[in-house]
Amino acid sequence: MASSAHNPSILLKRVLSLTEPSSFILCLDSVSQSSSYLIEELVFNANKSAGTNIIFVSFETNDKPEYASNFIDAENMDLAKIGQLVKSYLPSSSETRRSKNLVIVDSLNCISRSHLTQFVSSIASPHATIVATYHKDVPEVDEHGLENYPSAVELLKFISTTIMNINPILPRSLDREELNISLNRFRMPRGLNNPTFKLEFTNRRRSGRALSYEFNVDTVNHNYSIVMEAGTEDGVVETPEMLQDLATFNLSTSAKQKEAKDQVALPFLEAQSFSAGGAIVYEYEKDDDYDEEDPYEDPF
Amino acid sequence: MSTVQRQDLTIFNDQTVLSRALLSGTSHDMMLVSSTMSTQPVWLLNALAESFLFGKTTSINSSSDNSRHSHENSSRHVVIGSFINDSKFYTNSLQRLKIHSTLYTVVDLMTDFVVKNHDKPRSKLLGLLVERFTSPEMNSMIIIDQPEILLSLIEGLTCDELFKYFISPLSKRCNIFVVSTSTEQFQDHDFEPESTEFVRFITKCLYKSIVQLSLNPLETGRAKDVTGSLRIARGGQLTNHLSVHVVENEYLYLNERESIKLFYR
Repeated sequence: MASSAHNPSILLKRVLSLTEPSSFILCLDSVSQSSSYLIEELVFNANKSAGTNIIFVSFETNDKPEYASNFIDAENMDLAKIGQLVKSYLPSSSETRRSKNLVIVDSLNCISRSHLTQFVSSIASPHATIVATYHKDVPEVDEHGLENYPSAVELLKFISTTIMNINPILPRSLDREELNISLNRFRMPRGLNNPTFKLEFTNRRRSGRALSYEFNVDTVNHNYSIVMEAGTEDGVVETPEMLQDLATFNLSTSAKQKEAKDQVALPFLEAQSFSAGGAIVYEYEKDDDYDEEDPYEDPF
Repeated sequence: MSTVQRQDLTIFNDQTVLSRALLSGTSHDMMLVSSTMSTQPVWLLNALAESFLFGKTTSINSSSDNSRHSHENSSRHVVIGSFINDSKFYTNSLQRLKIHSTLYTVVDLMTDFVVKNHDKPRSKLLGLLVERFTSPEMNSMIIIDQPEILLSLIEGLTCDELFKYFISPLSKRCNIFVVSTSTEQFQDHDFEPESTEFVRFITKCLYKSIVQLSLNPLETGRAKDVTGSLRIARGGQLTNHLSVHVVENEYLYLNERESIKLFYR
């Protein structure tokens, strides 16, 4: 069994089905491919286990989506009130029963930069995953006194645990340059906003390491095919050639060794699949000397 | 061009301009019509109003008055609010299509706008504008012509305020909300501070719409037998809640005195 850390498709599936702990998923979209299909895919995966509580915070959606358990029309509310409302729909932080809660925010673009992180933390909860969309192509308003403040995208990328950068798969008749020219003239070209799109997926592990992959996501057949491994977040992909001649002994791994390494099922990943609290998984091996009468030997 | 076969305008896959599916539920859907100085959208807005009221468009590919709606009635209602044309302009054009005056209301938003409203707070002023659209929530369509002008007319108004106090409340008052906007002056924008709010406005409209109908002049220059092109493309909102989807297409059109001719590109 390949571990999820080494199998990008499984990792993406785990994030989409809320199995992989990720408290803040940031979706970066554009008019050429809005996040609507990705959100639907996420809801499809999350809803596979019954009883997922979905709270939809709307800044630009008129109607309550069918899948939403609770709908908050946030456009005319102040941010503190939205935070309170979201919290009221979530289980209290002291509750031990674990249920799946998803908070979807359809757009963060109308929240000023100075309040963005505050807003996200006000709706965050240990029991919920926040999925928020930020439109990359809506220009930011210059705010007085915030000239040296980071941009909204930078701030959101910094606080997010998973970043999903959505791009369209361009039709043959259209190249990137033509697309930019059309969109600069506010003319949507044909063949965009499709159920199949490109996804640059970055997942930050608890260790602080970021894994980045690029997928073609097909939301009709729920199929995710990896396009290329983008490497670590700094963009440097380690190749065996880079390790050559650095030492007198062999630092690189052969393809066969890599394959064997990927096949190893890491025990800590198995431990994460327990849904209720922590558990110790211990498998006896043939040489184990287990004394039933010794209480200190009981691994449980 | 006279030998080229004319085409019917279809936006949805059930071969309609405005599908009945848009009216069957309680959804509030938005459509964006974008245009330029040389490709005015009045004919397209009329065609949308006609299709909404009667389920067909006689103003496209028809030159005779016989087929028009002189005796037809409808349980639906259209409200048109314009910041660029006075009420007489739209009344005349709808009368030419023989649409009975009880089926539509034209709200003149522009006349004496600054004189009447210069001292009012922004949110109150926009609230008063919304109150002038007295349409039934169901079975109604609101067409708003060039609301982006408010960004220049009201001092300090931001795109977010325009959506919060005007666009969103209006879009929730009807089944189909059509925003007509002129994009020419902001094309190839360089994100100057003064143009940021306009760019934000049009981009947000694209995200909120299920379809964009863009009217543009020919790239190759002026032609005698073609006025411009009409492109139909999906917007940022899904149509999953409807039983139909948008059919993307591109037409060439010729705007004549009495009618509009459409051809496939």
